[in-house]
Amino acid sequence: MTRQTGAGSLPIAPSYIGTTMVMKGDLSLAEDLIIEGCFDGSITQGNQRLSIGEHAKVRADIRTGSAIIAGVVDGNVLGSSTVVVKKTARIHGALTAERLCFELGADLEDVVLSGNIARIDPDTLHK
Amino acid sequence: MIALPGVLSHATQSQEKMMFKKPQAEEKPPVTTHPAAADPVMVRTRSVSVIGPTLVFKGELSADEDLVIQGTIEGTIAHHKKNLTVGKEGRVRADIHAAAVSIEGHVEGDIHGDDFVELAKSAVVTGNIFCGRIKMADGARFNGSIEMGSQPVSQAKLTVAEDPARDPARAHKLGA
Repeated sequence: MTRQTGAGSLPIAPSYIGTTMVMKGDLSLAEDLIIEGCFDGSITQGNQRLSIGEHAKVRADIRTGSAIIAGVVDGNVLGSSTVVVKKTARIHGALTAERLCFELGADLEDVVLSGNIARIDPDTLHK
Repeated sequence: MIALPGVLSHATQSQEKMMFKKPQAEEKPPVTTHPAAADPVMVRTRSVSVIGPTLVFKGELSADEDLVIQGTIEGTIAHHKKNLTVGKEGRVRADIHAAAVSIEGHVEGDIHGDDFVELAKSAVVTGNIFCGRIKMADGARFNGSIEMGSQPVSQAKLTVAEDPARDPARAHKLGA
């Protein structure tokens, strides 16, 4: 399944970093990104979407559009739109976004929050 | 017979109810959701990693699953057991290690394909190729040397763009 990106007219499938993948370095992109593996470095994204899977381990400063975080993130996250934190997420760092959404049970002990807390229907969150 | 009009009228009533209810249901304010949350594209799991066309990565990359590169990678790629494809839009400036390597885009660096290396006609490669087998399409641009035989000799085989007229032994010599 492909989608139209905001800027371009070509249908682009999201980039996908699989479960066995280990990346160390600096990453920049202008399309959706799904991370299920390990990433160490920095992620710079435009206004696109980022999904950090339940088993993902990300040690990076992240600049993105909107994000769903379900895995481990060690670093600061800056979202220009909405950032959703699922209950499986473990975040150590600052979380800054226009809108912040949290699934019931999300661990926010080591998180510095900055943004508007928004309500979200948990049924619409992907499993 | 008497019941029939009753049923009909009941059905008509229920239809009327539905007609009245439907607009009410539509008037409900939409639940605010994260755009990615409801999108199955962001949910599905895959066995092939994809580096998209706008992605630029500088650093080390390793994996134990198939990988398709349509973006730009600079650094090292260690991908020992699986297949790696550099798509037409792919730009790689790195040494590549993988079981099977297919190149359709640009690669600058040494390519180690334990099993085989395949260069499509759109491939542009600058570097050395180390492989068990190789297939190079007519039109592929390649500057470097080919070294074969890192794999068992029984598996080593050269295929040059499906051209039976070519002498594999001679091509092998040229490659070496």
